[in-house]
Amino acid sequence: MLVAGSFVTLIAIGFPIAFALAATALIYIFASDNTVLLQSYAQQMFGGLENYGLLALPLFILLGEMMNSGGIGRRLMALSLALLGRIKGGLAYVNLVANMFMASILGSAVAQITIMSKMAVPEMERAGYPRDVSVAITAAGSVLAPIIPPSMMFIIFGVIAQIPIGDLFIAGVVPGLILFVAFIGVIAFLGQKHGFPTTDAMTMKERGRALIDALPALSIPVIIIGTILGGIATPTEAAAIATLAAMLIGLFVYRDMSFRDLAPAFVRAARNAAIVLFLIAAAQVFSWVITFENVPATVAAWLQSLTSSPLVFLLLLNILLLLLGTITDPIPAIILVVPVLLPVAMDTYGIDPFQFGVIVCLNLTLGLLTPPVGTGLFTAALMGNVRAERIAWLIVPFFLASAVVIVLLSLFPPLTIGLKGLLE
Amino acid sequence: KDYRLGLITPPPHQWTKTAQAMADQLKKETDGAVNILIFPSGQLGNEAQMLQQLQTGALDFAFLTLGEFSNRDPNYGIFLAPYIVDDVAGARKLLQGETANKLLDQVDQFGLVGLGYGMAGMRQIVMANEVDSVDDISGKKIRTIPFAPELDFWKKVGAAPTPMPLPALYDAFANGQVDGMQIDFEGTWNSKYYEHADTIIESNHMMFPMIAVASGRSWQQIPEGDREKVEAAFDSFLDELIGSYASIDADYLAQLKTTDVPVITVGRPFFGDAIDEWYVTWREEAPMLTDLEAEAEKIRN
Amino acid sequence: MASLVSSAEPTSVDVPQRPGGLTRLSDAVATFDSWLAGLLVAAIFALLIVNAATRALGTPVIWIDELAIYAMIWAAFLGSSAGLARREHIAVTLLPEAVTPRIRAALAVGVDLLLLMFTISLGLIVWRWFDPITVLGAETLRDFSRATFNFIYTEPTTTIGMRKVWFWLIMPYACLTLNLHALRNLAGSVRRLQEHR
Ligand code: NA
Ligand code: NA
Repeated sequence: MLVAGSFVTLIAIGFPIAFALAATALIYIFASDNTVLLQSYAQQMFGGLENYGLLALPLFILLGEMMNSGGIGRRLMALSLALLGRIKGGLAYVNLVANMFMASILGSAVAQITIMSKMAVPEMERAGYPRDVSVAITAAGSVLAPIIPPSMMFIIFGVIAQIPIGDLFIAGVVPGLILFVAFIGVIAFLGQKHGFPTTDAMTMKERGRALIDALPALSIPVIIIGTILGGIATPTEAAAIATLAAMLIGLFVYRDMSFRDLAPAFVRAARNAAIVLFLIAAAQVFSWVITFENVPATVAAWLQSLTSSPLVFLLLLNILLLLLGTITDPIPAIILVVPVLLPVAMDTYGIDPFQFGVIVCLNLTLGLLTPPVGTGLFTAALMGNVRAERIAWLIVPFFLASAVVIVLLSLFPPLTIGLKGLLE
Repeated sequence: KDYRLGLITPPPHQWTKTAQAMADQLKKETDGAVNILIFPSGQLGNEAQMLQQLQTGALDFAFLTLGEFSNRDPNYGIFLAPYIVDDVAGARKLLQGETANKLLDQVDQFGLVGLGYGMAGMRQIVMANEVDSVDDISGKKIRTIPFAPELDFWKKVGAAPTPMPLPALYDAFANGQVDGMQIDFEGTWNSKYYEHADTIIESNHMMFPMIAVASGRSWQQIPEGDREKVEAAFDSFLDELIGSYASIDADYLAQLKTTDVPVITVGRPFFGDAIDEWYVTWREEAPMLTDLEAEAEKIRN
Repeated sequence: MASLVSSAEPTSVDVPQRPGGLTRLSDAVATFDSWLAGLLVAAIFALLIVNAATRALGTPVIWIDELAIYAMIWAAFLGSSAGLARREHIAVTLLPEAVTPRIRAALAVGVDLLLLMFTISLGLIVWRWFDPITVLGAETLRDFSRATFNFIYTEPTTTIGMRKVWFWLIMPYACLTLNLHALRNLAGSVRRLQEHR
């Protein structure tokens, strides 16, 4: 109780979450009178990062940096526009399709909001869309980023759950597509409600030019998938190779960046990765201490006494995650929830870890868009110069659509694990 | 009193099941005076981290593979000598022998008390390509554990030993980042590696021992009478564990034979000169290998 | 996460009109650590490409994975320490934003004080782990390990062939810089609280 209380207090007064986890572990060590653990504390913190899977994190962040500086996102946006014909609310769909393209390359929703806001919102405003709605669509579209592979959240989940990240990526494909279709439905509804303008179709010549211009950009996802399936690279190495490609394309093909932009991109990637990695290191120490005190087994026993139905468990889990998502961001939430609840889900309720992973990641991603703590929401509001409360309100239909998808994923395991089974 | 036993295998693995059964019996036998909590799947850290916690006395017991030991003292690598034994029965005798016992006692240099040996299934080879001779293996990337003696064996066979974390292995094998692996039948079946294999080689070329240890520090704290009960329980459960692998290997091999992946059986001559060369190198690296060879020779005859 | 940090240049929130020595030192260290972390990420990037290439050529280099992981860990400690100087670590700022500026300033002093206490504790833990005084007095590292049950100086790496303590050295360094930044943050928030008097 003392331990839980001090953790909640630290978080509430604005203590950085990573430090709160590490400090709480320390408090727990003293409270449980196991000071012998102090001798292993530092090594556990270091050891929490000694994991090959985590290398994907700095690399996918680096890939995002290079794509942003190298003008790759812009070309994908133009291509999405070229793909559509004359349609009411065309640019809104373009936004979503471009988000889909970006999601297939980028691992992070916040990175995606940053890039997409710069490209999509001004364009939509010029075409006569209300700005707040444009920002909301951009923010909602970014939810695709962590579900459609590759995904930083899947990487972190895979590392903590000790399951193959490649398989987790495959498990995300169908849910990502369902989410995409659901969002198309929401945009159609919004188009009627807000009277979206109609986009004219491009001429075939313009379309051809956009396609040719986007070909180098399209090579990035092709390189990632191709090098993995071709037996050349692990997913992590694929991100490195794709980064190299993005760098070369940005420098020599699109010439949107110069050699002077490289060093700062590496430094930014290192610092962003470091913040997340330190959080993981602190969480490992925390989870080691609570495991040592046998807390997960106690929680498992308690949950088991509540219900024996996997569906009820998943329902409770989803409510818990949605609540947790409002007060925190996905990555710290994953780190808090997964070590305790995944063993329970698997051993007590027989839930597939891949199904569990996709549900947890999608649910927590929504947390990026929920106030009061919603990094994605605030990024979108900041970049689009709209009040965050307004966007939060406009996002509600997307949010409801996502909730329906989460329920579907909970009810029907084949949606997540089916494709993996087919491929085997 | 609560004690803690850590190991890296997941709950369904034979090692974890053995640990749990042993803990249950000890608890009953001592009326809860010795209550060993089991922490599977490396919940308390990888083997290096568990070793460190054993040394400080945070962790009381562990089942450890030889990797961390052979990394510190090459003599612990001698059990990975190729074809030192023919089968599980041979391994069982060798692990009760003089050399094995000497090495068990010597874990005190790491701040531990050795309680006995266990083992996993005999090592086999699973390849993505068709294999008729060792030439079909040489030049291929074989996933191994990064222990010097094992890496050296594969180098001498002419293959490219490729260490890789186990969770990444299935994908890597499916996609061709590795061409094969050294593994037991249990793992081949349970992790479904056979799905992407074109040949399963029943080679039985290496044993895979485990050392059960107690923390030197916490061992001193356990009351004398309880210590005897703990020792006796480890003895009987570990011996049973080793013995069980004869049937585990056979059962999983039988299951694998129900798939359409061809299983070929090979012996020491299959590998050519590689094994003799391995012994030349490792007799120098690890002086106790010569003693072990002599014991193994006696067991075989 | 790409928008957590907007630029590689110091963007401190604690810079007074004329930065004091502590602030300048903390900024300099944070900038140095950031660039070093960037260099390490570049190294990881290169190592992984080499790894894929050498494996594709059938000559895998076994120590690359382990070295890349240690490079990442160094980058993590360097970058996150610099992140403390720039207050970039993720926190829940709900309560601090809801209260009056004066209470907020007081809360910030409390947070920074507790943070300093934590970084000092971490420093002590790492000091005890490395146990520098005992090890300097010991005849050999083996004797030290036997006497203290502390094997920090003899632990090997798996594939690199170096002792692991060389890589663990990032922890004492990070403890030093974390304490420096925590102290600077505390000084800054105390100053701001005084302005609210
Ligand atoms: Na993605
Ligand atoms: Na939120």
